[in-house]
Amino acid sequence: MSTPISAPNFSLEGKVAIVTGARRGMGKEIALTFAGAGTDVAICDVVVEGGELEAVAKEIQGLGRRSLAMQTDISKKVDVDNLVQRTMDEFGVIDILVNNAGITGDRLPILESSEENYDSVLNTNLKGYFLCSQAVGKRMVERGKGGKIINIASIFGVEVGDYGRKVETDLGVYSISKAGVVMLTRVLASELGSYNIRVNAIAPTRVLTPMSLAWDNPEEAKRSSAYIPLGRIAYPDDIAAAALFLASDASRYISGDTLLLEGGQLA
Amino acid sequence: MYVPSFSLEGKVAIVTGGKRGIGKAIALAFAEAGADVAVSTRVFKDAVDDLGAVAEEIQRLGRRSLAVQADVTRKGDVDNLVQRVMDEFGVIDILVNNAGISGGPPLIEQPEDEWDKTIDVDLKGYYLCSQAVAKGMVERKRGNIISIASAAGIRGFSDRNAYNIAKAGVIMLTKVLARDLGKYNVRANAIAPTMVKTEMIRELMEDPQASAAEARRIPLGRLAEVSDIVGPAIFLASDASSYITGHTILVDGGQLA
Repeated sequence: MSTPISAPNFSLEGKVAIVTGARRGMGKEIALTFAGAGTDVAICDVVVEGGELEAVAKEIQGLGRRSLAMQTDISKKVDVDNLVQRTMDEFGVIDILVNNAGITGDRLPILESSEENYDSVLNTNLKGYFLCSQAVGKRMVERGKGGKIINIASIFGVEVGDYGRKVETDLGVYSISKAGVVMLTRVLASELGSYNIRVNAIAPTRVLTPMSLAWDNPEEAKRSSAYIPLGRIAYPDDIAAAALFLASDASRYISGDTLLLEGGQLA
Repeated sequence: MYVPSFSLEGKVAIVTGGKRGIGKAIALAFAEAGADVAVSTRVFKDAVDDLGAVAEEIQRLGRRSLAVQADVTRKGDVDNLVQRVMDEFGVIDILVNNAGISGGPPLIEQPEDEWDKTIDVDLKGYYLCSQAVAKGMVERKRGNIISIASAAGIRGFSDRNAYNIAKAGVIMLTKVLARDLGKYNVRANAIAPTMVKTEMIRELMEDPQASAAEARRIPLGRLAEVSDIVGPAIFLASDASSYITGHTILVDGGQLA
């Protein structure tokens, strides 16, 4: 029944993280925020042409941290194994995995969505998280020093999307994949808790990233903001701050939870 | 590059039930993070704990503090608490609803007066404090309400009777406050811990076999310490969570996964 005097520790000093889908948007913001908090960060993306991913790695190095940029299709086991092996070769350990790489797929109702679209969305958004969690989780278990896995889910994996207009409900396949991520998070938390590996998810509403309809479209951002009690859509730094909290010792008793980042939209 | 801020520098907080346990830990951590903290309790001093000592500890951390006797189920007490904090500090940025009670027999055997008492303290007290504090927050167009709920407000725990129901009410109170107050830049969130090692589960703590059995039911393999609740409380109180409202953070070691 002792009372601590010490404030919680939000530092990630000396840790090693992998962030998938880090060439832009949330993944980039999380990678840079982690580097700022003291972490070496390996980053990957399926798209490397154009040099965006490499530029993020340089920015991490500019913050005084080590980085590694790799082309990875997370839906392919061989790519994922290579990502994990190269990170281990380079940094020796993996403390934190952020599953972030994802696609929205076709914006069509389920009845009109093709099998190809279903396969490609589920393969990246759900199977990719499974493959990365499995490959990194095994290393964390072997090492015996715990770890953290953070999955970017979506409010659409919790409730059917609704900003007052039918087009938003046309994220059906995407929503199914994200609901799977929420349960993947819970299953992993149950299975890995005894190894002190914590697994949590972040479920944002619309975030101002290049993947969003609100990107370069202030009218759309304003329109969807009307459905959100805090009156705005999310920014990548909202997500990065939550990810930092979940990666840090300050959240040491939280596992299996899905943190809603939606400005009260689902309240 | 964005650096999230977990500082509470220059903020003023009220923590109810601040004499011991989770409330005391949050009050001290908030002070360490830079906040001035008013603490309240129904019984100012008992054989073990003293609210005045908590206030002194806050001052030793270089912050202002105020210790106020308040029964959160009485509107007169709550209004007095809020008035005294306003007189002293001029503003209230953060309210932590924490004062609570547990216990009693299974629900079907629970006497009506015990039901009333549990719901009064664990739910009506949160409502009264939130209402009294939120009025000023709405005027100032900023504020932050954090309510200590429980995993028992999400899953039915068979030995927790009306406590389950009150805590489920706290989770919905949090959502309603978030919906109503979001446009005034006032956030409301809850923390739902599983069993935390405090006075509230003293009997269990004194039975090593029973507490070991409880710990085995939790994926992280241990019961929560009060210090485990402090990180989520600081996160929710800080600007690092400025987009989170209406949410209940589970702090349960994976128990409900």
